[in-house]
Amino acid sequence: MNTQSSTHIQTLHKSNWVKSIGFVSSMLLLLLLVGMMVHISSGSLSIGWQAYLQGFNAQQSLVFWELRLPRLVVVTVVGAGLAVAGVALQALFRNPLAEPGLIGVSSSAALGAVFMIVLGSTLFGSVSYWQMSLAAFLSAGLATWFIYALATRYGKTDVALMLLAGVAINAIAGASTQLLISISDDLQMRSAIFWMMGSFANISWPSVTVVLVVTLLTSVGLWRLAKPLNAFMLGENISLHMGYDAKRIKWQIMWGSALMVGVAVATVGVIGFVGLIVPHIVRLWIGTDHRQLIPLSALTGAILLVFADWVAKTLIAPSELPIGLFMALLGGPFFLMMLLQQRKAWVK
Amino acid sequence: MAFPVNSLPATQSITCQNLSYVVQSNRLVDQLNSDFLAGKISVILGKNGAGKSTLLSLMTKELEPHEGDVLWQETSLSTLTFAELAQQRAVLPQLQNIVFSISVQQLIELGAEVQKEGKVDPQNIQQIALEVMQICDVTHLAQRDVMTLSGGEQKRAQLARVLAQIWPLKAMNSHHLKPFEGKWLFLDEWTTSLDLHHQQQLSAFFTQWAQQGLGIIMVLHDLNLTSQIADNVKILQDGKLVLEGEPKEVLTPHNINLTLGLNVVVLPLDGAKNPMIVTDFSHS
Repeated sequence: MNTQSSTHIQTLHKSNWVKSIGFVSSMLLLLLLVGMMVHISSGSLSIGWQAYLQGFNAQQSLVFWELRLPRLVVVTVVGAGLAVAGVALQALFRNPLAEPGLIGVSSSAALGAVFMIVLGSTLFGSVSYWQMSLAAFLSAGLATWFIYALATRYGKTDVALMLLAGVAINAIAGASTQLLISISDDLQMRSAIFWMMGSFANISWPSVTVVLVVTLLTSVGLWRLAKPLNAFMLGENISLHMGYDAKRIKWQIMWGSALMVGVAVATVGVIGFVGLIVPHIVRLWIGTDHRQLIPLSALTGAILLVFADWVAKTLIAPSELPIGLFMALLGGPFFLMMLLQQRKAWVK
Repeated sequence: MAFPVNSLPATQSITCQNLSYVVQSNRLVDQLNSDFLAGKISVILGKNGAGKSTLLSLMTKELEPHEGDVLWQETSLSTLTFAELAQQRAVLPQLQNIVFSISVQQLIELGAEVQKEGKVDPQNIQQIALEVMQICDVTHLAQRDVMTLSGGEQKRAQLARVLAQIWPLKAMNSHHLKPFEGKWLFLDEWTTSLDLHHQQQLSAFFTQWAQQGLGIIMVLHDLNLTSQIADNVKILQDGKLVLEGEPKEVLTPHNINLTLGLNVVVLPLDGAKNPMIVTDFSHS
């Protein structure tokens, strides 16, 4: 037995440079940089490369600093945050179909935010971005907790129940949102509807800072949970056996992902499927180890949304496609494809 | 080689004291008192629903008892953290399902990484993985996706992961007599879906490791296997411990019929310490 061990150790680690973390992450970083450059240079006002070197004129400066850059930062950060939230929820539910949009977390966050837009102004006078984010976060967390309590027993998630509960929550949250909008005044209605479709069009620096800081801190926090997440993926009881406090980790995953979804939804509205598409692709590429899955999903999510937003703002220029709509067009078929894959696995 | 008995450390054990676990007024484990000794193979027997898995869950801190306590080598289990426990014991649950694709080797490395509270260096992780993969005969499957394996292969891969968590670092090559000292292994129906060849191979390993200090606590349904490998047999009935002792004493046709509802023939086996136990179909 011992004589074989030395010969086996080489065959154990097939070094595959296409899947090496260094290669993958540098490719993704490069792609993100390209995407960001393409994104920031597109728009109705052309800013030539000379302007970047010689300085902007007043109009260019305004467009760059107050419109394009904040939008680019938010697109990048929200893409990363939604992807990481997807990874976290999928570990929690132990299923690749658990996605904030599909299971109703995003629409609950939206309900919380619209609740603030419509009722908050009457209750508190004026509504700040902070209050909207907080309301979105709380309702996202409650929705996650509710679905988890409903669909998971003894650490095992009933996938059908999870998705159906998502359908129900989406319906309830959607109808309640509509109801709130229908009792709102013109101005509230406009801002609520516009924002619900998911849009990066009106973004201010204070909200950029909040979404940036919250997403960064939460992602790093979840990344530090990578090992427990790996264990959790094997089963809740197994994570206990491996020395992790499963109950505490569950709460951290739930509220961590709710925080990122909440703040993303409060900033740009509901954008679905990022948390579904991105982790799936990254898993196929580099596997299921959360130490790599989380940072690389963050990168890939950022890339996806940067390009998607670029398409959304240039496809029918000078007007814009709402990014939420665009992502649904892209993500719907992807979701169907994943369902077909799961069906194959069940049949087997 | 004989060792003077008094040079061995004081007997270590896991003790269940008046242990009860109740679900909706059903006493799944009912005022159970028992000792599980280090360096021994203890086998828990009982019909379906007798409380075997519940007892195992109570002893691994997966469940909290409603009454009584588990003394983990003289410390109350409730005062130990999951992280502390994970350094001392590994658990193979009855059911495992892998839902994301992961290679056999990665799966096993997740187990090895638990050692030293996560501060094992990568070389040691590989070495551990290598050794347990050979033990469980999954070396040839190292790069395969666990989800594509057969039931028995998955079981062996999971067992390898579990072993990796308590596998002594390099101790197998050293002259340490008890490399498994202070370690415990809980196995809930590990033979399910394993072929007989692997059952036999692993049984031999379990016996060897027990002699090297490993405390093994397993739930089994196979009476003959129990008779061959157990140092101590405990039979549960409706959550109560009804019989315990050496297999030779406990596993009599009368006892087995009474507690497990099974007719058996007990056949003495030439050269073996314990008799063979065969189901007798002529009396059923």
